[in-house]
Amino acid sequence: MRQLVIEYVLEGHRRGYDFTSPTAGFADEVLRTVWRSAMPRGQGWNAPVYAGARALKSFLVGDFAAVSQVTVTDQRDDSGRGGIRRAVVDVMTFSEYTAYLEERLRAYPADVQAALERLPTLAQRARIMNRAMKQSKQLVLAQAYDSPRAWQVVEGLVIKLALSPFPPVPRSGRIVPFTTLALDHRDESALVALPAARARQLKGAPVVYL
Amino acid sequence: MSSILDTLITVILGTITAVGRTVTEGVAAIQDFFYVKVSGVSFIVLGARQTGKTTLIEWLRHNAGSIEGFEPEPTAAGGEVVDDFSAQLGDGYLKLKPHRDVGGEYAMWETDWVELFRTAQPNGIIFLIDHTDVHLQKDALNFVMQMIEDEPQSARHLKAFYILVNKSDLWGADTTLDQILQNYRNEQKRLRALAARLGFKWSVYEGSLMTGKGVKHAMRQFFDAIRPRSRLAS
Repeated sequence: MRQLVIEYVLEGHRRGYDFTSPTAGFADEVLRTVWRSAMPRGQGWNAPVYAGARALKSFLVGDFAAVSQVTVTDQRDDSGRGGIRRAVVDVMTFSEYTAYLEERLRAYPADVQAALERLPTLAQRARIMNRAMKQSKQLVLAQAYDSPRAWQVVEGLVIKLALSPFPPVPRSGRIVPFTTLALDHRDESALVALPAARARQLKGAPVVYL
Repeated sequence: MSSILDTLITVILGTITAVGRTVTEGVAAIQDFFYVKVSGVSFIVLGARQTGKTTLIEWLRHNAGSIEGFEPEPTAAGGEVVDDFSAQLGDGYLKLKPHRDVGGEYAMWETDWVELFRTAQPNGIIFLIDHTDVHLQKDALNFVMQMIEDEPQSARHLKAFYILVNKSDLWGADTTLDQILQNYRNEQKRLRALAARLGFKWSVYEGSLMTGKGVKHAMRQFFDAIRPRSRLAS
């Protein structure tokens, strides 16, 4: 497994978002794909409610899988703009990928794991399957966003659905690409979770409220 | 006899020319209607970081009105999809197609900018600069001009390249547009030559997206230059 980091650089000539970890050994195409795919979409991360928010995003990188862990930082740029994010991207083989996500599920606090054991509920499963039957290429899950800690349940549920033998969206190659927290569903993973307040603004999107 | 024949030929050719002109104008009008009302006028917004790209798109989306309270965050790697929208810039509504909002950092140029240019194959480019960091902004402008030269297929629909010197509310009291443009003499020469060679219009405007001063006029000129049938020229 190899790691790449994208951060907002505040000093020097190349200020702004950039790779801050060594990129030697990665093919240009891999770097381009990681660059394009690592960050969850949407504007509005500078809202106080998203301070410290975390999103996991999985995607294909050629013959590998990648999982980007994105955190909303408290950084401000030289114009005072907030909502700056940091992405730590793990690039791995497909066999490592499943073990990696299962390990993440096991690493949640006990109360989150207990909640996840009961999820998805029968009602949620019915709503998700109902949407899946419509053969939409994307499934948007929505729940009220309260805090990073509370959102871990949604994050875990998305991972469970992505690892399910019968996922609610088509696989892309050998994985189900997912994003556990985005502010816009466009240009996003096949399986994506949005705060309900954002989802309510969408027109015609395949939203399932949890 | 020969003068009658001459007159006859002149009348026939004149009629054919008139009919041809009418058909051409009709086709141009239909094409204009299609792009302006249905498909959307394709353009992209580029510029170094913090020059106001996201704010310009938001300003256009708000129908060239006030964007007070808008607090953009730095556009992240990969950029953001921007849906087509209609904006009133002059005598009617235009459907605008900005494709994507991209960041302005060095790391975005080779990736997000080139990809946007290739995908959009735009009719127009709005390039934003301001009064700060001349070296970075010159680099960015030269990068875009090189991109146009290196990507002829993507540049084939290009009809206008407008530079908007933004934030005049911040620099207007201390300097002038001419003084700012002194730093970009070589770039203006290069752009002039490129525009002449590839056949697109170029121009420089000043304005402030925060106050709206100057921007509406610049955008009206820009969109008129890239729509199939110019209104201001006629």
